[in-house]
Amino acid sequence: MKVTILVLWIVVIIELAVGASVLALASIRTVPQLPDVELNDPLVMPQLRELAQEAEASGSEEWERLGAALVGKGFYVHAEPAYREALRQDPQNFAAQFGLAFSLDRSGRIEKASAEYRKLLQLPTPSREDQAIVYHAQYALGRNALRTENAADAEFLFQQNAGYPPADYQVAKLRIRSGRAEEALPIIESNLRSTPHSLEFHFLHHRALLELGRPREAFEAAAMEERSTRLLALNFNTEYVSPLDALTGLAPMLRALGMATETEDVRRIEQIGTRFKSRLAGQPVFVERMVDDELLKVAVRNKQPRRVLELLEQIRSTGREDHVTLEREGDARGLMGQAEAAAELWQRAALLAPSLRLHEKLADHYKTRDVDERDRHLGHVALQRGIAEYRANRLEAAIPHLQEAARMLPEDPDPWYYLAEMQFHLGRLSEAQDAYRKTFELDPGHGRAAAMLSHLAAAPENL
Amino acid sequence: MLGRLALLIALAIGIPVGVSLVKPHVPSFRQPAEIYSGGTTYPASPVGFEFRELGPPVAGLPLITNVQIFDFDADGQNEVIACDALGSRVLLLERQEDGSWEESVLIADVSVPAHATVVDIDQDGDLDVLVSVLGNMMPDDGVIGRLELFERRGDQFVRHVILDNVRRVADAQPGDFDGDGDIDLAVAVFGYSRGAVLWLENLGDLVFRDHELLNAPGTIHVPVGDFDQDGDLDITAIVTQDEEELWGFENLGDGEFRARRIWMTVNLDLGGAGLVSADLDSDGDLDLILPAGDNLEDFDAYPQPYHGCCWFENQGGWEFEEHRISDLGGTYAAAVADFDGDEDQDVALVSLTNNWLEPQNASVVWLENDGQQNFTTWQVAASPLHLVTVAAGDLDGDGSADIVAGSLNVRRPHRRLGRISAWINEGKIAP
Repeated sequence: MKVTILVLWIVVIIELAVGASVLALASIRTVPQLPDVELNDPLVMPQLRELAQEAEASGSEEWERLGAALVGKGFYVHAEPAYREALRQDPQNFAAQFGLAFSLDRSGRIEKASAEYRKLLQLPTPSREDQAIVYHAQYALGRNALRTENAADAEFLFQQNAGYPPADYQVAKLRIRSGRAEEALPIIESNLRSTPHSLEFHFLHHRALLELGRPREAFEAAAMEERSTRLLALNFNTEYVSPLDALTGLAPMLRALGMATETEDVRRIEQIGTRFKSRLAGQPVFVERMVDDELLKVAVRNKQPRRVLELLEQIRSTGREDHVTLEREGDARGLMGQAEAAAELWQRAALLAPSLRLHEKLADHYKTRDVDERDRHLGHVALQRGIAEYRANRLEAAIPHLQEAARMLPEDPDPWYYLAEMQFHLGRLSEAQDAYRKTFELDPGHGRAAAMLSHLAAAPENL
Repeated sequence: MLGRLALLIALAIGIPVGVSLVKPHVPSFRQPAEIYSGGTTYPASPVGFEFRELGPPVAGLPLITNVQIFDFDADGQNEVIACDALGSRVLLLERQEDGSWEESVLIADVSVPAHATVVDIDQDGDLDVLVSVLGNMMPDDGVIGRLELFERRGDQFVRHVILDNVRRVADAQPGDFDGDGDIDLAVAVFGYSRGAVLWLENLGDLVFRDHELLNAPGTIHVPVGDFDQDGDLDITAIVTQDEEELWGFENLGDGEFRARRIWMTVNLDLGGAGLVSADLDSDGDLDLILPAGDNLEDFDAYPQPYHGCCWFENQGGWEFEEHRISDLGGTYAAAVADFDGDEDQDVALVSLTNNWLEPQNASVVWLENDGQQNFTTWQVAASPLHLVTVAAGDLDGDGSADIVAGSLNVRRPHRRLGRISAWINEGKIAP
């Protein structure tokens, strides 16, 4: 019994000591700091408070998650202490280290941000996914040197990241701007070999060739810009923040809506959209228009014209009127058998933003009513198809559509201009010249056709 | 003994339980870390400005892209012309006899109008309207821009698309650039990843031929004036996005221009947001004023140390000396006028993205010129937020310069919302 009592005394004393230290530590624990603000998205602040409670009770990862959620909603300065606490508890927390640097970066504390990016580069890289963060951090260091107008340091830092296309772009650009276009060309050409349709590198190519006094080649580089669709991630901020934004608030609902839209799951779109709007309870948020557009589309697809008109009434009460609202009202009027009213609304929508879909609707409307008008819209359908093929870099596929458009729209210079562009890019310069000439005949104000004609005329041996 | 045993067992169980119950309620005595605040606030303006919301009350999230003060009906009293991107229209706001303002639609069905230029383009004695059509408010590199001319015929406007198949158009300014007596146009094709500066040669019968002056994305404004004082009109342009360059296009006559890069910075994050020409130092030549603070590429922008306003002093011979005259966070637009009636030129600035978590941070300021181009910043207002356009002129007919501004509510927080707001100059406040 005495031994038991002795053991129990020891246990109690240890418990008291541990308990006291636990409570002492609790009394000096870091308390999360949240912004004192009300947002129209009603979910954000309660969710942030929940994350803050978890962080207070747990460890580095939870603090990092709180920091990420704060950055996602633009609360950079409140994210900073969350990330600092995460790092205090675990100095190797890679995501927290990047988050801290980013929070300082976006809140304008450039030198401090760079110091934290440098610390990140000293950490062991834990996963392959994090390797991308390392590139971003190195690139951010270069960007920060640019932000403090230190071009020499920036060039050096970007060179440390050579082979990473955004860094290559910056090095080439710095060289062109400082009169060293000759030194920029190899970088540009190497990147164009690996990414032939890189918009930014064609842009730099154009500028470098101009600097070097090679205007004909510069002209052709500029022409290549027009059909280049690959974009570099020159500013990774949005790319980094997007998933963090989706951590809280209505953003996950929007993501789910996007997925339902992709799979054309009409029922789910309606469910999510309706829930989204009821959560907002009339408070405006900018992204609500995406939800409205989807709900309108679903109501048209479900052949519910009254529902479309109800939604439009709500939308228009906020002052919104655009090609979407006009087109959808036209759809509703069409469903209600008011064909003339529908056509008038579609015409107005097409005036604001012409699209293949609108011209198809109008062609269908005039099918038996007015053949000339029908053919005019069918001509525009062909033109839109041709342009879409061109933008997707399918030049040969664009040609038959454009030829059809040229036949159906004999007074319109656009089909001829785009045909000329196709032929030019396909190297059929004589055909291109004929088509540019036709464009110019139809529209004497077409300066781009005139410029192409002079360019081609300057080298008749190529024709 | 048994009692002691029971007590010890109770303590052994109770202490950890008690600690775990008490722990969440123990207050923290640690001093919270100081939260950084990067916004800007200034002393209250010594000139009084009375706030007025023009037009109907705010509903939804207004998207006003441009405001101008102009005597549109030539009745000797100024109106406000505003581009409403949300409603796809250009608005006219007229002051009524009782001092209220009535709003009407001047032009409907224009897709995200960025700017309306009022000019008698066909020189028939009435005012036509040129609308620079962005086609999309959000980043978009598509060929969706246009320049639409609304030709006045009696009480009607007749639409002519005079520039098509281009990327987003942000501005158009008139001038006879080729000296043939008709009005040509300078055009800013903002685009996104691709863009251009153009001039449109007037061929007559409302036909214009486009000529490219510069291939560069992000051109916002193209102020026109005789910058080199040689008697003809030149064009200037601010190119933003990653470029951040100020260009001059010297008119050589006969429709020929020499491109001159007046200034550039390697700071790709500067956020050049517009360009205004004015003789800020009253020395007889045209200077340039550059508001900077556009970080719309971020979901949530925050003031940066380089945001504010720069004055480019014309030194002659296409040399311009840069002076930084304000550090207002998120500066998006500038207007020049004499706000304090001391016969020198002051500057009004508005902010799109100051640090709006702090309620006292400025959304409207004016920079008082002491006559020697030393500027003192005075705060006019901290609300409404998200202002992207500002104009100065006499709104109430008392001869003093008032301020009008427009809100573009695309970013959080969607609070302290405005649409078309005015600050009526009430003169110097007695100390």
